[in-house]
Amino acid sequence: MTLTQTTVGDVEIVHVQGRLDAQTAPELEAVVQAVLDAGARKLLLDCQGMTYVSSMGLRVFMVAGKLLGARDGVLAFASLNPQNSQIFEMTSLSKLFPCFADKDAALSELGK
Amino acid sequence: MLTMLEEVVLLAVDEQTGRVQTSQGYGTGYALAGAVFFDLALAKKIDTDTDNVLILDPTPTGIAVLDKALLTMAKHPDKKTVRSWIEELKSLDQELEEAALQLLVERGVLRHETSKRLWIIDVERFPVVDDKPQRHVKLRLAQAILGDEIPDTRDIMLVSIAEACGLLSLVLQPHELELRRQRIDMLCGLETISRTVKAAIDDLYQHIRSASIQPM
Repeated sequence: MTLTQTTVGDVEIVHVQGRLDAQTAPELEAVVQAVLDAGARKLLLDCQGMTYVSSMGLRVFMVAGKLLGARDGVLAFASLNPQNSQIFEMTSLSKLFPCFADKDAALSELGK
Repeated sequence: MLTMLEEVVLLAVDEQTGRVQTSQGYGTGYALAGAVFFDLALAKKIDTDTDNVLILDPTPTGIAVLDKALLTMAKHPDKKTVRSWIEELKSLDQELEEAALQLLVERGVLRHETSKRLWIIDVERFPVVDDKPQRHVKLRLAQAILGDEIPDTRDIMLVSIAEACGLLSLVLQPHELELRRQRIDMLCGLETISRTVKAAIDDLYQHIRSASIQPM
């Protein structure tokens, strides 16, 4: 898995590429924690290159969403592929977090 | 910290009588199997996706009942689906419940009492000695369901297993459960293990219903 981080305005973006599973979930957890420690309140996970997500990966999303929620922040997702979109529907994550077709759509909404 | 298996069984112990109760007897075995899965997932011994279980680390957790399940799974890597393992562990429901009760007795949470009814029938009871853990479990369940924020992973798991066991009615009033039905369903859908436990229980009840309306 490859994680890259960018900032647009007050939105922190983490691009997730590859497999998010038990082996790689701690890496994402550490990056998200660092972003939160720096005071971010808007976090966008751009999942364009995310090819697989296991339960352990989904739990990282939940923890990030909980931490952001506690500071009136928001966790959002962009560019989920059809398989991952299906997982988000099945697990109701799509009801808990805003999901956008792509990064630009997410930024135009989160940047308001 | 108690295991998920202990928390679920503790929830089912009536604090007045010390009897283990459940309002959904047929489904309880599946729910206990689900609790074992959650314990192994929390210990980072297994991971799951929408269908399959992956053994991450077969080394023991130090808790015999979990290690037995983990060892069994590690010995059969060909059996991969969550559903097949839930079915397999479900057959150990009596053993899982007894192990959880034993752990709770060892921790000083419950006391084991046996007596005779009509001089011949053995009756077992597990009176609550330390009521703090049970109150804590009930409080976490109530907060996870009645609150609007995202609960801790552990509490999401606990809600889904308590729901599958029919134990939520011991914590919340019927009108509260009705009011929060959408929230409960949402929490139960978040984890593959919970969805599989629910599907297994639904199939079981469907099977029982079909069998009961078979023409003579």
